[in-house]
Amino acid sequence: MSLQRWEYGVYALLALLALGGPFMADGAYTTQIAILWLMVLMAATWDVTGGHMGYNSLGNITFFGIGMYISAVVQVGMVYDVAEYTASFGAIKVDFTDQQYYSGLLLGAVAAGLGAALFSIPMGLCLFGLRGPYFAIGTLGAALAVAELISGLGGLWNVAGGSVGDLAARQRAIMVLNGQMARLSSLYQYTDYAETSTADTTGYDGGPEPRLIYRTDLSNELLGPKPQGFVETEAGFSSAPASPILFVDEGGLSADRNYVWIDKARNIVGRLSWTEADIVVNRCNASNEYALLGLLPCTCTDWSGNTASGGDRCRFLTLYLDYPFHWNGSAVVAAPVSARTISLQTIVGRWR
Amino acid sequence: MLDNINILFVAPVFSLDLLLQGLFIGAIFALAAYGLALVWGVMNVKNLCQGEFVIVGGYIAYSMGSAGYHPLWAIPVVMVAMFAFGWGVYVTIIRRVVDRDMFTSLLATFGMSLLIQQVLNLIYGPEVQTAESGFGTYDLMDNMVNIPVIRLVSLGLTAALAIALVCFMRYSRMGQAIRATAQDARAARVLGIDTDRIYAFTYALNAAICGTAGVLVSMIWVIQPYYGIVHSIRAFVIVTAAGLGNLPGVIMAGLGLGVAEKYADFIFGAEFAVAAVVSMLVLVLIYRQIMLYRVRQVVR
Repeated sequence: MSLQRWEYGVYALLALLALGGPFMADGAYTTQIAILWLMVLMAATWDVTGGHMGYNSLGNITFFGIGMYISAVVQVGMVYDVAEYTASFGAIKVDFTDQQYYSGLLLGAVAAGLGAALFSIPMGLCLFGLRGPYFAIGTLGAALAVAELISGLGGLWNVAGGSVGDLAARQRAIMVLNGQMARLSSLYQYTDYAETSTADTTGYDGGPEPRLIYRTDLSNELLGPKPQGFVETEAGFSSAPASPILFVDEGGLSADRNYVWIDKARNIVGRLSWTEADIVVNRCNASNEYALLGLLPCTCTDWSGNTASGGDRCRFLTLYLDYPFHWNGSAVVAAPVSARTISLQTIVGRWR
Repeated sequence: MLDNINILFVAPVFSLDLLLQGLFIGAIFALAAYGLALVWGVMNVKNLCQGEFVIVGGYIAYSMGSAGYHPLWAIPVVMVAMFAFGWGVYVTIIRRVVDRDMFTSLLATFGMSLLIQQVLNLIYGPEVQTAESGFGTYDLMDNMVNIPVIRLVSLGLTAALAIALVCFMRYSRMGQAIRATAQDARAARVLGIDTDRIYAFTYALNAAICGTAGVLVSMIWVIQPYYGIVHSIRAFVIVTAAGLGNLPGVIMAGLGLGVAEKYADFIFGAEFAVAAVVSMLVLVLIYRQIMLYRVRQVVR
């Protein structure tokens, strides 16, 4: 394959364009021109696999991405602690000297090439057995898998939109709500100082209005044993709470809800609130237990089997857990997906 | 990860929930995969914008839902609209690549899929959307297992559509012509079948099936402009695992993929859900490769 004379001219023109690109138009389109040449290079690499080898790869971009990560890590790592840099999410700006920048770039580029080549060995072992369109689909799949795994490692909150169906978060939220339900039941069963307040109904967007507030400033607090396993903490999430928690709302301010951990590793919290209602017991069955429909007033049975007058010692509780919210280290912020609500209902009787 | 597996053992009811969710969603995957198998088998075109057809159908349902109609009414609309759209895509693009080598069609449909993604992103934005059906939920086992009514409805619709498709392919003249073309296009042409029209019809039918699947996806799950490629991958996983022209296999593989995906979602966490699906594709392809290798050795 020998070049025609006019082809030399075209290549010379292209080289001129490449070298002169940054100096044209006052450097206004430098990035675009640089990316254009990157794409030319990408197309040339594809020509090697797809054109000359006959392996139609749709996954070459994987090596591009691996190279980007490696060269960035090498370049930043030469002057700064990479872990710290990453953890700051862009808050740290590294001031390179020219020498640091270019030596880092050079070393990074070499390392990126070697790293991507190294990675291509296991990938090739897996994929080169595939033929024709299966190879194309397989490489596309491998590229997507690598991309998703890397973004997945960044944690749930980096996967924008809460990812697909956020099933895992929902399952955790249900577990948390079940746990809170059990706790609340025990609170009712063993203490006499769980009180409700219906005064504050402001600031709540949908869902329940009155909520139960666990108060410690009541005089009869000392009468009952404190529920086991509770850690009291001030309302408002001023510091990262340990689990398990039950917030104490002493002031009755509108802003505070009971926030609970759903996934502590990823700083996901849920907003717990609940309503309670009297049970109007108006028909008994043979064993003196309440039934939901009927005529005669009756007594409700508490957990230890004693009876109480209707609507007195029994409560119908509905728990609501809004999730997901994000604990950003100092405050609860709304998650990038719209909040969902799960509710649970139970009837509890108070020990007397 | 081990925690999550542990939860499954501590609370087996979660397994039931995952299983049911997986089956509901898997039925819809199977529908889209059947469309892919149809186009693949008849035209030998690997349609990479399969998932985008699904998402387009979903967005039509979403738009109708926002406009005040019930999203279920979108099904007939989407069927007609997507059929016309598929026909248009065939006439403008697929006709030109159908006789070329397979990679050309793969590349053309891949380009199509990128185009549709970007257009959807321009129109609807990148947010995750869902079409509200407004139906209730059955809460079973102390609220541990939720079965939204719409999932039952969609399962019924999927089954009805699958049966209708099978009957259509088996008994109608067009269905017979499609099957004849799939067996041997040249022979079909000799016997007076207008294969170009059959191709156009097949592709349009596939688009309509995918669009319908998309309506169901938008109601029981979420849609987003860039989720299409994952639906394509799912369809490829199912068809590769089940083989062409194997409807029971496609259904079983679809349900299996749905369940496997839900379990992977639970065990590895939602952030690895897509990675799990795509890894399954690579694994299925490699497994298929190994099996083919063994078959070749036996033949030799």
